Amino acid sequence: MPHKVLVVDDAMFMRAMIRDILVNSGAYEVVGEAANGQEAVEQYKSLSPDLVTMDIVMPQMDGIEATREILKQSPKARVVMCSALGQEALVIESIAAGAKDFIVKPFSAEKVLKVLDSVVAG
Amino acid sequence: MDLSKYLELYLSEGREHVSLLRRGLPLEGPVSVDAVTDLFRHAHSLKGMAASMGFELTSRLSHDLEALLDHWRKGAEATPLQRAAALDAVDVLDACMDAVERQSSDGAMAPRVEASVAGLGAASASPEAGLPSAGPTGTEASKAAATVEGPGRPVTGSPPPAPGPRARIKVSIDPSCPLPAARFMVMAERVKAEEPSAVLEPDLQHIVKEGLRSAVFLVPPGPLLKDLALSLRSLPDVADVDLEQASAPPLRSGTEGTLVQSMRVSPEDLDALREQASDLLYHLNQFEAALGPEEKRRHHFWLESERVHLNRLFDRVLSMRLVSFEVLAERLGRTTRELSSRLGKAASLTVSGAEERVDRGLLERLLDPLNHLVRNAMDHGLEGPEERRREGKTESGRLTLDIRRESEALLISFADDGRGIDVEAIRQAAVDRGLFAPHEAALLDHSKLLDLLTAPAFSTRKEVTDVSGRGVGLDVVRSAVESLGGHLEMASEKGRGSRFTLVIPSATTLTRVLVFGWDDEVRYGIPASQIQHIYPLSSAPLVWSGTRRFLQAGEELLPVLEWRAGPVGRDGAGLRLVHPQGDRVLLVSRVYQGERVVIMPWGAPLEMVSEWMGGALLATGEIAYVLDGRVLIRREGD
Repeated sequence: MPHKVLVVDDAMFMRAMIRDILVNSGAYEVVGEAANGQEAVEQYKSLSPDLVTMDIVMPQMDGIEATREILKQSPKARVVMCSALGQEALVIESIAAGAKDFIVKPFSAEKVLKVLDSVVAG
Repeated sequence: MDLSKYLELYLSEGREHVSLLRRGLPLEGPVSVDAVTDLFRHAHSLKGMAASMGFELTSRLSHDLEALLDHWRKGAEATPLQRAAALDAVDVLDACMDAVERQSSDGAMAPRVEASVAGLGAASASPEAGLPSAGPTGTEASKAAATVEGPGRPVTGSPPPAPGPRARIKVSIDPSCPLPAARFMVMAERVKAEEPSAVLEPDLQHIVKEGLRSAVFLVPPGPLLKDLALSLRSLPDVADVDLEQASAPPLRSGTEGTLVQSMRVSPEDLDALREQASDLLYHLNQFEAALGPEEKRRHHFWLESERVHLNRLFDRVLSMRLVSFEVLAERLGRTTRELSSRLGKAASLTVSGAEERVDRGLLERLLDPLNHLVRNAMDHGLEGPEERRREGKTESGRLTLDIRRESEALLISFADDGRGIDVEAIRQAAVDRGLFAPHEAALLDHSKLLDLLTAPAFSTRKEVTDVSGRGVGLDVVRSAVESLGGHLEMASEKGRGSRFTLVIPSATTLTRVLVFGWDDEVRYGIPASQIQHIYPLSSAPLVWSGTRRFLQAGEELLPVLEWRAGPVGRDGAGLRLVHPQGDRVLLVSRVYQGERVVIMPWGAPLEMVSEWMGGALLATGEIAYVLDGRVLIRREGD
């Protein structure tokens, strides 16, 4: 059974790229997409995915806030942050907020899968 | 990964970001935080998308634009130069999208992107503006690190190691991992889940601050350690894991106090040291220039490492010249006390932020204008004790001096709680002096009226006193601040007091200059604060009108400053120099980069008459001849 993933990013482009990486691996299926933190929180509630990939900078509710919100409702949620270069402080804040790990843009399929695999295994 | 299938999505979504950036950029007026946050996000998204597609140039320019917007978002002032540079960046990003659409690559955009990046760099007074800012990020990171410390999360803090022997698991992070500290933090969380008493050494704050790529987990020895080490080895970005069962307690050194904590050094000695350091760099450069190409290649490593060391020495000396505001605060306190007894007005000066350190030269140049403001406040601003009582104020007047830094800028704010400035009196005086017709004067708003106070010799005081001399003399304060590249902000409320804020863009004597050249030999510079825009000549044509040349920038025709007008090809650029009498464009063959430098004056007589501000040592070790754009324009046609 592939792991169910919710992909959160305000750019459709990035969502398409992550979706392809996940689906091509065969180990994951994308059960939902969200374009901001608010949507992510709602989608998480209705889909209960195994894993969330969460962009940090997004309109309305950012990824860190959304991560806090999701973890408040589901303390076992596994959230992986999607960061750009130069955002170390934000990533550290996210991990302190309970995110399990992070991936850095530009994504390489190999790296992304290694991180996600280690999160679902851990 | 085959990226071509994402191209269409990249273009449609990317263009939307560019057009939202264009629509939202504030061309003038105040900048709203919400609006800039949106813009920041668009630049940020574009950066990530472009990087994912391998469009390095687009990504780089978006990154620099994002950094500038981030500054604005955090409350830094959006200068006209920055706004122009941001707009130019959006233009170039737009062109990058076109290039990608035509050729599936932004490679052809290199010259324009470089010019635009240089423009963004030049427009910003801060050296980090074009990079992920080390300052704020560092602080945020340590803040973030601080939040993960404390009870319940021992692994990321540095509590004293529990008694008893400790095994050490040394972990090295892959050099290609972009966020090593975040990686350590993820790992620390995992280790903690296995072994709650584990300690990370050095702690996360140090790892963030020093960008460390290896650290040690101290854990109680046990049979499961091997498994823990193995599981760490399998984590992403981990290059190496080394398990030491040995249990020697880590040595702590340097905790005993030293005999001498600090020493006095005369400022002259420091100046001499700085000069010697800069001479050394210069000599190194001359030496390298004298070498043949073969020798240069052979000794490249030594030359470069020498240069790095000398640059470090130079930086160190510059930072030793930093002094705190305390001396200045003391001096102003003395002025306050003296005037207080002379004028019979009780007053006290409260200073906050005096621990802020700036270059000695800057501090000295701030003394006069601040002394001036104190005298003004004591003389005109504060009421006598009786009047204050009638107004329901404390008998003793309150003066405050507040020093703080915002981004790179230094803000020195001086306030009194006196009678405030009577703007109606200014309005009347403006009419009396024939500066404005009555109906014009009636239209002047509060801040325009306050601005009038800084016009030379404009005074609303009828009598002259020996304390603050003739008139209020705010023009003196303003020109002193402007000579430092800053500006003066004023606020006043009748009956409540006045506030004067000196905004100094760069808080050291380091000046940001744009480096350019007319040939490959000599480098020239102009302070970035004097340049409003850089036009690549490939897109902004030159046109003749009568005997004059103009640069056509969109709708605008800008007169060319005919100075050293050597041949400048289409790969050159026009630098728009700001001047109250009308901007001029200086044509140059090549724009190199923006750089923070110390401008060393050539010496008094030459300085008085010439358009040369002095020489500056560039990071490359070359000397740049720095021009004063204002003088160039003033002397145009001499």
